[in-house]
Amino acid sequence: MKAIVWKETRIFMHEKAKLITLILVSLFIIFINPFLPGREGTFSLISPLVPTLLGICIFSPVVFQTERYSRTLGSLLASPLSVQDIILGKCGAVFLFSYSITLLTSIPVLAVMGTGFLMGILMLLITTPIWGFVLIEIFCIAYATIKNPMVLQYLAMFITIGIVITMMNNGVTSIDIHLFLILNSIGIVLIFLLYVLMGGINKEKMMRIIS
Amino acid sequence: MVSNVIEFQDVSKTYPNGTEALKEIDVSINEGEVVGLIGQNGAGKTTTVKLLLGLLKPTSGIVKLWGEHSYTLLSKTKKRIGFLLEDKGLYENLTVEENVLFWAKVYDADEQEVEKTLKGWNLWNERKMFVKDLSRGMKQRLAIAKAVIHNPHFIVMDEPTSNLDPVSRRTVVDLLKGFAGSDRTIFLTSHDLYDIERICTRVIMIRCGVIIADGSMEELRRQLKVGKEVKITVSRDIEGVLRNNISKRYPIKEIKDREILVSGEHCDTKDIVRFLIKNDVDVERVEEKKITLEDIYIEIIKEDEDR
Ligand SMILES: Nc1ncnc2c1ncn2[C@@H]1O[C@H](COP(=O)(O)OP(=O)(O)O)[C@@H](O)[C@H]1O
Ligand SMILES: [Mg+2]
Repeated sequence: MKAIVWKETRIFMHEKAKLITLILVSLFIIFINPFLPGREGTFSLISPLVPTLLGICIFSPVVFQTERYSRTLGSLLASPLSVQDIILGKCGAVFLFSYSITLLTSIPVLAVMGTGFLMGILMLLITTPIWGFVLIEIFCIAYATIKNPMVLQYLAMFITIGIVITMMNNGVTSIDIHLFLILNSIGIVLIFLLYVLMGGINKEKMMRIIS
Repeated sequence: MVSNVIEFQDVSKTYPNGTEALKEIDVSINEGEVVGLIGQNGAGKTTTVKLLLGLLKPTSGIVKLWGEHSYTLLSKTKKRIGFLLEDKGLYENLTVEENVLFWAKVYDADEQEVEKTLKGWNLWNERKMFVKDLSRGMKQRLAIAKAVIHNPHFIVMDEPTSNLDPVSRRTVVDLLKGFAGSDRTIFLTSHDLYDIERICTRVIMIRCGVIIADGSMEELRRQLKVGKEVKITVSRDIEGVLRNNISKRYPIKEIKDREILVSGEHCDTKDIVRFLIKNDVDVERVEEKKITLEDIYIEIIKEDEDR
């Protein structure tokens, strides 16, 4: 599994255009908020979600299509890696990469804002990873079941644009603790349910994708 | 103790579209054997390799590797195999070095081997290049290099020498010959006898999913009745009683006007000539031609193409 995470991360690093776009957009969204009229000096609580979800939308097509593009799935399946290693490795790679960028771009803002942003930190450390993983699992299942991946690319684009627009219109600066708990609980349940669904992806299904 | 590495027991494979790619294949390969599977395009070579690596399930019969069913090999067993598929298993958007490193990680191989391997396969100077920018020969060398990075006990390669320019092909053949020297078990496929002849000690010839010959090159020659052929041109037509007599005494393949075609490894040309002269037939010319395995193989291919 570590080998897969390593390989996908190397591939991301070579995707310079995507990488730079992601970093610039993330920085823009996080830094612009405190300067918007009426929100001076605030840190939008959903800011950290944006880079993570955006990163996942950008890099999921990369990880879930590499094997098709390089025609390497057969070699992976014949190697000592299990199907679970391959799938979790790919999901893990997208997650770790997108989340690292989120941490790198959000932390400076949180630091500048100083104390009193406990909610912001909780969103960054708890809600963002939970919902990020939900999105990755959805992509993973979709790529394993839908024959035409172009559909997914458009879907990813719409999700991304949707997120950005919501972000811009909504400078949430405080969140009810109950809502916070409900949001995260739903996320955890979804992660579990989707994980069970992912267990249905086996060698036969993957081979049907390559043939 | 000599033990079985590969065992195909009565294996047939029919694809969902109805194509019968393999028909009742029975083969076992022992430790240390260097086996070449040769056959024309579409003969069933890739299907055999995929069955061996558990990428396909046999429609009937059993495929075993070290006694384990190939479709459900344990990860531990898979680590002892080095393979090269028709699709080479290289990531186009990673560099040469990254590709080898990745496969080294997959097999828990010593990462210090990577540098040694790249140098050994003459790819060190290209290590920072993306695979998509490599020539075919380099890609093939890289694909083979990464397949053996973990020093496997058993090597399976699907057409390792195909689609290469003559120089790269020679290099690849020499490198594979190097492996064959050790006590590893090797299974290669090719549609070209030339390469197999140079690398392998045992050859299995497959045609339309059926094995038509199996053995050492010598045994193959015998099984396919390879030998010499002698053409005797005489001064007059051979007819009637004389024609019958010759046919009875010697392994005659054909008598056509003034030409007699004799086949078989042990035909005594001198004796035939003596016999002809005794019967008042002047011999004008005797030509001897050695039939190679290549000739027979090409004849088989031609037959298949004519059908
Ligand atoms: N996925 C497939 N579906 C249907 N038929 C196939 C498939 N793969 C191979 N075949 C058929 O099976 C036969 C053997 O193919 P293959 O094993 O690839 O031969 P070779 O590798 O010797 O060229 C061919 O007739 C080929 O058309
Ligand atoms: Mg083939």
